[in-house]
Amino acid sequence: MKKFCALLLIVLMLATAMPVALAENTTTLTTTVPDATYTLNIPADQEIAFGAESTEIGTLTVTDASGFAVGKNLAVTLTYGDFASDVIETTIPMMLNCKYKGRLSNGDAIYEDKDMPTGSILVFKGNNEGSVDLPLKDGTNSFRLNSMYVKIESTDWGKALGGDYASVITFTAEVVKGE
Amino acid sequence: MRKTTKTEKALIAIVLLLSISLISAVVLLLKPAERQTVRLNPTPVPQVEKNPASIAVPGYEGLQLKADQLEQEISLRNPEQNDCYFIIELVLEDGTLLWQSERIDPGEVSAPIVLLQPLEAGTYPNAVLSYSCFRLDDHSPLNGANTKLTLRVK
Repeated sequence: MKKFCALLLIVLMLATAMPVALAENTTTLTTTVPDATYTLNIPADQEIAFGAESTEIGTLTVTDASGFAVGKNLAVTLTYGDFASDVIETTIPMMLNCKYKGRLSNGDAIYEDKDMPTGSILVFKGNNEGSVDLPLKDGTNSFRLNSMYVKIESTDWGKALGGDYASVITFTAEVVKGE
Repeated sequence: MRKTTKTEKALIAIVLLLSISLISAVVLLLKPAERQTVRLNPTPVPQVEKNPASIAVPGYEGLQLKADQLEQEISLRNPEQNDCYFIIELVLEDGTLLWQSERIDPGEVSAPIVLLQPLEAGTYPNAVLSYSCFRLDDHSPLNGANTKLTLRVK
């Protein structure tokens, strides 16, 4: 009986001591990275006047962004084709153009623009507030996206037969890892 | 050698049970918590001013779906500030159409997603939510948007 009692005591001591021993030697850290969510605001549509070589169509913004971080960006690819019609043979080539806004040292606004052929990508860089910033021109300088334009060469207007034409721009957004 | 009595046998059994229970409790307590998931809120956004010059398109880095069943619990919304209706498609990277919504008016949410085919458990990167946007009056197409996302099927 004595042997049994000793064995019982040892087992109970081990069983009660084990959690303390394990807890002291192990620290488990856990975290959850939420999926990023956002609202992409794209230009709806725009009637382009005949002969206009440059027409503002609005801009591209991101609101209600959450779950982003420095190095976690939103890339938006611009895809479009020529103005075309179901019943007319000719098409009208177009080019998207982005206007970027910067500031001079005296605070005055200054603008630069850049043509964006189909397939071009605008990057909204993630910031440390969980949101994203407006795209920078060439991704480097201090000029930020301000507005977008459709450019059509006057000679291309001249080649188009009469009729109604349309072009749809598709914006493809993807959360990407930054460089 | 002395024979073990019935009382001793019972005590041994109790001690063994207590030990197993204690060890199980320790293992369970030290097990890392399961990954939490972010659920989409299907509640429409509060009323806001319409902006006919712009279309607001919701985007997600990932969505979680249920494995091996068609009916899902996720609904997608058309923000209230929009002046157009959506038809949304969910497409896998290889072009397989998983779901097409009904017409979703501004401020409304789709019916819960019912897939065209069940998915096995796993991760499906580069799926696409394709938003086609149409005028409310004459149903003519407007600019559209695609949002790439990862489907996590469990």
